Amino acid sequence: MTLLLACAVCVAAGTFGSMVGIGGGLIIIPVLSQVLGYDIKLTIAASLIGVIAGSISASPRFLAAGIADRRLAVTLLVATVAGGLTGGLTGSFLDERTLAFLLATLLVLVAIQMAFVLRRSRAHASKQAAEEPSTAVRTRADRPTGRMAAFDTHYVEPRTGQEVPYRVERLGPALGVSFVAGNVSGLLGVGGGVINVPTMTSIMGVPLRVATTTSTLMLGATAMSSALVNAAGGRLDPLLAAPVVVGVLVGSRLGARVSLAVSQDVLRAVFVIVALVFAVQTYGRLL
Amino acid sequence: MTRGVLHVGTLVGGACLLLALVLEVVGGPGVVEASAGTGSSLLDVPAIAASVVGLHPWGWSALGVWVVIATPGIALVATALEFRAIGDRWAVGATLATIALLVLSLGVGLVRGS
Repeated sequence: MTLLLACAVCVAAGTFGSMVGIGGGLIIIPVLSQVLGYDIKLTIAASLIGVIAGSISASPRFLAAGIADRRLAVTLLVATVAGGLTGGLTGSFLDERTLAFLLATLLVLVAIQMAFVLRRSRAHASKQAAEEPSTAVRTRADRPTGRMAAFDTHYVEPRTGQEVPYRVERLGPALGVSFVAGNVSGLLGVGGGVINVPTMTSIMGVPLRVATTTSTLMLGATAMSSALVNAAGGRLDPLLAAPVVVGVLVGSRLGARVSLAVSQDVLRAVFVIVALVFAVQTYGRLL
Repeated sequence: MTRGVLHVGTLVGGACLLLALVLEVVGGPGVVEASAGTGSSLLDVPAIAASVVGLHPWGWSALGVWVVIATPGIALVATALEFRAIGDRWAVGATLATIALLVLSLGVGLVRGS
C-alpha cells in the first residue's frame, strides 16, 4: 500500500513539476520522507532519478514545439552540471535534519522569489515587446553585436501562434546563478528549475514559457551529475527509485500536455501555494 | 536525433522500472527480501544481470535506473552532433564541456564509493 501511495504522490508531483519546470522533487522529497517515512538521503537520491525521468519524458514535446531554447540550455548546463557535482558531494557529508531544514528554507525562498520576480518579469516582457514589435523587420543597427547577437532569437507562442522575439541578456551573472542552482539540485535532490526559471525570466529577460520549457530540458543533465555521484558511490536505492520514476513519467506526460494550454499566471500561483504549504509542514516536524 | 534518444530512454527505462514495481507488488515478501538483501552495488554488473534474469525487482530497478541516468548524457552527444551539423561551434563546445563534467561526476562517485 505504501508503495502504491508513493507512486500516486509521484504522479501528482510529476504533473505539477512538468507544468512549472521544477521537476517535482520539491514535492516528492517532503512527502516521501516526512509523510511516508522514507530516509531523506535515499529519498533525495531517488528524487534525482525522478527529476531525470521527468525531464527526458517532457522535453521531446517542447523540442518538437520549438519553444525550448536548446542553445541557451547547453550554455547554462556547463554551470549547472558543475554545480550538481559539487552539490552532490556536499550532500553526502550532511545529516538528515540539516537537509530537511535546508529543503524547507529553499521552499520558502522560492515561493517568495517566484511571486515577486515573476511579477517583475511581466513588466520587463511588456517593455521589451513595446520596444521590439513582433512582426517588425530588424535592421543591422538594431541587433546586438558580438557573442550576445547569437542569442537574439524568438519562439512561437502556442496559444496564439504569434512569433515572440526575445533577447538573452546578462549571460555572465546568469551562469553564476546557474552554478548555485546546480549545487541546490545536487544537495537537495531537486531539479534546480526553482532557481533556473526565475533566473532566466528576471536576469536574462527570457519569456516565462521559454524559461520553463528550457529549464525542463536542462533538468535531466543537471540531476545526472549528482545522480552519478550517488549511484556510483552506493547511496542510491533502485527499489525506491522505481515508484518515483514510474509516477513521475506518468505525471510529466500529463503536465506537458496541460501546460501548453494553461495561463502562466495560474502556474505561478499554484507553485507559490504548494511550496509554502510544504515548507510549513517540514518546519513543524523539525520543531 | 536528440528527441529520439529521449524517447527511447524514457520508454526503456520506464519499462524496466515499471516491471520492477510490478514484481515488487505481486511477487510478495520473498521476492522483495531476496532482492533487497543482496547488498549488491549498482556497479555490480554480474549481480544486476543475474537479478534481471531471475526476474527480481532489484535487478530490473537497477537496470532501469542506469538507463534513465544515461539517457541525458547520450542525448547531449546527439545534441552535439546536431549543432555540429549546422556549424554552431559555441553550442558544440558548451555541449562537450558538459559531457566532460558528467564523466568527471562518474569518476568522483567511483572514488567516493571505493
